[in-house]
Amino acid sequence: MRRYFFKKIVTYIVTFFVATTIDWAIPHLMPGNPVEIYLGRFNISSNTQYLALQKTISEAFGVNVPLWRQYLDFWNGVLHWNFGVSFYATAPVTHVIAQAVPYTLALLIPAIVLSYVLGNRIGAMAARRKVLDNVVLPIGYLFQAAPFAWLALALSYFLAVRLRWFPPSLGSDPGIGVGWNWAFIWSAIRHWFLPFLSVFLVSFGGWAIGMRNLVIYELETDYARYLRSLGASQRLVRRYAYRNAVLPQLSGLALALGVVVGGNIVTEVVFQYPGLGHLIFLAISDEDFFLLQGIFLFIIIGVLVANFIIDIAYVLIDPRTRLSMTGATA
Amino acid sequence: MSMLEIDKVSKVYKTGTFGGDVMLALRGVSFDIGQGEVVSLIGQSGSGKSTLGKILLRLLEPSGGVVRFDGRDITSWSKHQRRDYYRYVQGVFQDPFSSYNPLYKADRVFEMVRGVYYPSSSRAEWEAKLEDALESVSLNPADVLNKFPHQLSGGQQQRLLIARALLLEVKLLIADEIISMLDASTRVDVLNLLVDLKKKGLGVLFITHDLSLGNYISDRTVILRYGATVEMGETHKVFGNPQHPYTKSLLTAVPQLHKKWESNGALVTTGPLARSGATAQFEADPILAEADADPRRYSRSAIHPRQQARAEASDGPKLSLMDRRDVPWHQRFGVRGPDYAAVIAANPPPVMVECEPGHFVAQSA
Amino acid sequence: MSVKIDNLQIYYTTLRGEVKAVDGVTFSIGDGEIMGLAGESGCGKSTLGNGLIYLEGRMRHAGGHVTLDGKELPIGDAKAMEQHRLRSVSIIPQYAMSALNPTRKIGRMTADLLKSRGVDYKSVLEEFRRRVALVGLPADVLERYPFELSGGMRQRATMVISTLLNPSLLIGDEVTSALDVSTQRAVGEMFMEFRDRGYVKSTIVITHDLSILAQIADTILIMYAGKLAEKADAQTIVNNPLHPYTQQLLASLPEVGLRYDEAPLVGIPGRPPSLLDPPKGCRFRDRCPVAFEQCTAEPPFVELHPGHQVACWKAIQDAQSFNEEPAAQGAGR
Repeated sequence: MRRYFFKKIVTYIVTFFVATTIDWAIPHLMPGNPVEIYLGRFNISSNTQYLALQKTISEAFGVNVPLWRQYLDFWNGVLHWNFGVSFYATAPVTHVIAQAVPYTLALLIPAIVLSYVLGNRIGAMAARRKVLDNVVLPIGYLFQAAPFAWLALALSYFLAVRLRWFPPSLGSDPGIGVGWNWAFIWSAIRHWFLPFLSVFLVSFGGWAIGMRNLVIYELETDYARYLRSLGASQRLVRRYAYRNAVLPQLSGLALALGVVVGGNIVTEVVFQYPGLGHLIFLAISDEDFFLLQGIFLFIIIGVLVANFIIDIAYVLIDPRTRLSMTGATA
Repeated sequence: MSMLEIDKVSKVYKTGTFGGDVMLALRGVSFDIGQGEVVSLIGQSGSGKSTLGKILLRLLEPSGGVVRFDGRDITSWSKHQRRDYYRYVQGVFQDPFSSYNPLYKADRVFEMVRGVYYPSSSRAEWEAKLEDALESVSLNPADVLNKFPHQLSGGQQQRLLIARALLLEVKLLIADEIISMLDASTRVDVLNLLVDLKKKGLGVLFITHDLSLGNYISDRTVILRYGATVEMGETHKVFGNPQHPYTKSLLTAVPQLHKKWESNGALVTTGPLARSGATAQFEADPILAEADADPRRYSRSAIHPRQQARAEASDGPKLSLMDRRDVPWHQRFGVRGPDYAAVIAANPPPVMVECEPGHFVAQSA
Repeated sequence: MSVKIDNLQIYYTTLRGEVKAVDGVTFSIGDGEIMGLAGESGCGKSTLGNGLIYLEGRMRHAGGHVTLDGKELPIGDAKAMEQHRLRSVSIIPQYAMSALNPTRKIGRMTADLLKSRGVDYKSVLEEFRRRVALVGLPADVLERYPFELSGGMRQRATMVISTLLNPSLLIGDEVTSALDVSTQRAVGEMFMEFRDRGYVKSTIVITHDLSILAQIADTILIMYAGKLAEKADAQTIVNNPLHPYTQQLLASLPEVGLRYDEAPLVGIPGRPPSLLDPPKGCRFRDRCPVAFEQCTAEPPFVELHPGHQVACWKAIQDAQSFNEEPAAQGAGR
């Protein structure tokens, strides 16, 4: 068991290292020089002033040193939770991210958890009720196959633009200040609903179909047939089938996490929802490299932590992996 | 000179979640197969008989030892040379249906042979060849050509696969449990077909767990247990005058039509299930006594201490022969470490002694 | 007679129509009797065995009755059947090695099963442990997951669970087929042991291997193409079979000590007829070496000698001529 976790942790550290290095390389891969772009924002006529500013800014950005030094400085920043300053907000990147993270988590966590739980439940129910199956299967396929952006646009068009049930964009009404008052909370919920729904629906379709197929498979396995032959109650057979079918779904969750996070970015852009996804969009259009680096790093860490939690949960839930780790298998 | 020589072939598998444990599946197995000779390789599940079949078909690499075909070492052959080898050596396996792609007609297996080995043959030449092959397996072309696999019986499928082998200049057929999934009425036809082919000079390695089938068809018999040869020789000598206690115990378990199990004495097993009162004590069981007394054969020196403790806890002295087979392999012979050569050296095969001309038995300690 | 089966028909639906897998069979099994049920694959033996306990979705009880311990067994009524399963009829399935839920400990799974059948697990736990030891499994097996056991151990665990409530009828479906000889013998002896100890009253052992039945069965029933061909005590079937199909089946079995050059075996040419639309008359007719005109009519399954039933016109004819001779002599005196 200890060996297993050791191996897992090493894998995660290596992944983190590689992903962070790629993240560091992004500004270097993007066209243009960050210092020039930053200076381009100001209308500087004097050449000497320009050169002086260029020197100051280069020092401030830490790009006046050799590449390897920049790389080490970057890691130093990462370890001290310091990602530099955002051009766009002229504030520390961490502050900008901290403002956006609650919005993104408010979309992602309910969307992932609810779609997983409801998808599994309804998929399992569809596996044994023909009528429900005839409804769930086509709808599930439709949602699962829908690109995030397409579904977000469709929902926005019908429910916001045509029917005007929900606001089409932003995180809350611009007139209401952010704060813990009912007016803001109500406004935030109304703005939250459509982006949440589009992320939820796409994942829900996938889970429901996956669970339906797995439960049908489990109900046909030898142990289910054996239990039925011995007169076990339907409930018991279904409970076993559900429990065993959830296991592959759980590893599916780890795999799907990255996709959902990616889809979330697109959805936020469509709804101009002020989370990390929208921030990425702004950072790219403003060529705000430090902000972009910071957001990606944050997403990398988030996805890796979530994956690690699922890995551990899987080991705890499935006796087969749990025991093979202690070396007790035949 | 023998057509196929198997010379001290060993196979070590990695086991465990991260491949930390090893399992010794074959221990220095040596025998040979001559032209037109049927050798049956008999062993229970886990004896390593199928592993050996796969090594001979070059589907697995041996960890030690050499296989020679017509005097040439085949274990080091390249992929290209291997194609030539398959011209002469072919395999047929237990489940015939799985050898076919159910979406295509069954005779597609012939076209595949043609594509690889006879790309330049003309249609007429090929058809004549095919007809020959089908005739030698007593199949009527009209019955089997242009049909899907599910339209053919198990016996027909198996014979079709043998016919495919015959399309090549096959000299040796590795038949791994080829009739255990067939009904009694059709398995005999396949067995008799092998006899006919043998008379025409085909060598056959007949791998089976069924002693009566092995006995019926083979000239020589090799009995494998835990990856090592325990007894081998001319079939009528091995079966008529079995020397090794393991061979004897197998023979007492074979179900026969006209002789009750009880008349052979109790099954070598302890526990209350042993009928007719002859409860063999573990210590009195010659095979296990031998297995445990002979440290050369069952070297535990290299076993990881924790594993050894577990092995001892779970296969305490009460276990019977049957239960012992249930103990996972790597707990019985588990050796840790990456050095396969050391694993093989630490578990040498028993010495084979010639007890009568053409009849060898593993020497008991 | 603890089990009586009267003109039982079990069909199953396929895309091409109904397959008459069990087409009117009548026989009975006594208390303490182990009956072997043998025949080629597709002869209906597994459908018959499984049909007595659980009709899968595509299977249909098309007619006939099953009586167990004097009461009708409602095999066609899934709901009514439920209470009989495990308690009065039980099965050791063909897939016994994979019949246990991989993610539940064996004890826990058994407890779940019994609870759903309204049986208190604690009240049978002691007996369960005793039987686990009897079949040679270690005591801690109840605390283990199936994947921690070898295939043979799983199969034995399944045998114990299936018979835990002492059913009147136990069905063993191809239990020995994939096993090595010594395991085969141990499992075969377990059937006898269970019977001797009264864990089960009557047993049906389904197999295609007549030599196993010669070892463990009291009586053997041979099926061919959905119909009964022959039934007699095991020794009679093995030594003195009357149905040509039984004779040929036995002739195709290799015996230890026989070699191809000494006693070549012969298979049975041809294939059994399709049960979608079975032919009229004797269904073995096309493959039978002794078929004659009368075989176009369906032969009755009649008792020619005490306890020896056959469905074959030729056998009936032979028996009649045998019986007539002494009768004619008696008349002449």
